[in-house]
Amino acid sequence: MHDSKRHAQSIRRRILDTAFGANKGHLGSALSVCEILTALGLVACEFGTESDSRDRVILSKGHSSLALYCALVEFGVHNPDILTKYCRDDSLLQTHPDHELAGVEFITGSLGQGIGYGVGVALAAKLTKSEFRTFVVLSDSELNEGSTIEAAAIAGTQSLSSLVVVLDLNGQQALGYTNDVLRVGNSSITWAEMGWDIEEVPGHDMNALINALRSSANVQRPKLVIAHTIAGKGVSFMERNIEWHYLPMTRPQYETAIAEVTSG
Amino acid sequence: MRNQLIDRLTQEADNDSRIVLLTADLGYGVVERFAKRHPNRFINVGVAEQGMIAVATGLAHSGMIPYCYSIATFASLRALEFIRNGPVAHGLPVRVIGIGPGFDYENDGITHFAVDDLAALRSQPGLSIWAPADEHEFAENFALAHHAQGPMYLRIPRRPVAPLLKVTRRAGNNANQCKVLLLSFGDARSESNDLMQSLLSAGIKSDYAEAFWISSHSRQEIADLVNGYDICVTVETHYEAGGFGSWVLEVVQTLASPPRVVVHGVSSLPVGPLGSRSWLTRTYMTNPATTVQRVVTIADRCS
Repeated sequence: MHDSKRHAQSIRRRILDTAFGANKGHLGSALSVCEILTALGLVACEFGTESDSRDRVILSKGHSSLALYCALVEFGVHNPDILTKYCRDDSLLQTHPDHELAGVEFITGSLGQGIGYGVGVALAAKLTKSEFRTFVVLSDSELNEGSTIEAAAIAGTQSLSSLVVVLDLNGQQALGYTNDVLRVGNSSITWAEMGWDIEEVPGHDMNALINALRSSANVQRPKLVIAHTIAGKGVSFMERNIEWHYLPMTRPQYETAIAEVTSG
Repeated sequence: MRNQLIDRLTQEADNDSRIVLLTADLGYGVVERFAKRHPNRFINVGVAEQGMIAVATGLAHSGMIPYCYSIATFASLRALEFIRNGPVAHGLPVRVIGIGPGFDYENDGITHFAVDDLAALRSQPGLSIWAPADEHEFAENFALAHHAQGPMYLRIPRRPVAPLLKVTRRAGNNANQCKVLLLSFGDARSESNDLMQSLLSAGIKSDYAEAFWISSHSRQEIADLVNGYDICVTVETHYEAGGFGSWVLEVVQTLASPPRVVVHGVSSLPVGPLGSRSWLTRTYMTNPATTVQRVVTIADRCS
């Protein structure tokens, strides 16, 4: 197995182990972004460090925080033992990320706010002539929020070429499938009209993701990588199943999930 | 109580075609019963809280009675300007349902902690706030809330609130004749219980009362309740600034002999290390010892 796939599989296992240990949910969205976070771990310069020159990685879809914690462990930012603190008292690892934890740039959990912050960071890079890039991981449910569209329009207008937004297009949100809940249009068209470069990739294809993130940005435009993903990816009974936005696993479910991810 | 609220709304909607339930894509396992029974009057607007309030304003201005469902922080803070310019400015019966007061969403973090919703909303003229703590209070006063004129904010616990305190409402006078009232707001019963025990341990007996409303109509009720006490200790799952205790401070200014008001609430910014509701309460609310010391200091001057 290629190293990048092994990283994604390991992140997936850690997510299941940690969530089961804490009896917590938000699994569908966490399993959806394993390859995206792996690609960022491999591509983003000085991923998760405190270095001023690091590329910034912002998890706008804060409800996938567990996937981020597991990615930070996978890429050596934190010791694996830290995951035992997930959702414990007096812990920085909760169900949405807190910026006091190394590797977290910004507190998210209220949808549609991380991207605006990311636009500000990218604008600062432009104004200060800094070299770092800014990556924002956005959920498709965040396209419901007007603030997301406002931020996208600002970024396009300001020609923030160091900004890359990865849209985790898994087609689901809390109460239903996104197309049933709210018709937000085709982002590849609407964002292009706001001044963005667009690239669509299979969201669980490591090579495609890495290439999309590595490719040099257009000097004038921010970039939207539309990653077509599957909520609950890797666990058959969770895939495309709305209820796994919230549910924690029973032991038999956990054992089945681990077996599927390990064999996958 | 979320289930009780949606059940009651579903029943009311059977007989009142003006009732509409909107949600900003929240309420999994709760709102479905209304959606199933009244599919045409259940609208999931998506994760779009501002839009939800704007749409509700249009509905209300057209004679409907919209209920807007979301987590309390999103319902109150994110949509604040829309609440202000819509139902408040136009005096419309939009009902904003905010789920999860205080630290109800515990591990979800500050984005989900409704510790400043009261401060934001109680400034709005004509907007009433109702924060029922249990099924009894809900059943007793739902009709009052539902039929009230103007906009309403319903601050609804996500988890069961501690049972009513098993204490006498009149605990007796203290040795120094200082009369102390402990006044709990909404879901703050367990915090009130702990504080009352701490006061007793320090030799301070206090009467106990609960309040569930912040509104122009309940001002006189609160004034009458606290009148005659030397000290009123307010307890709430909200920042000390701007919430229920601050409102009581404003109310008592109208009294000839106002009590000293001691506000007990969330005293510091809950970011960084977090945890369970009880851990958050211990860590980020006023230390009970601090409040007790303040009460003791004031009480010593009573006689």
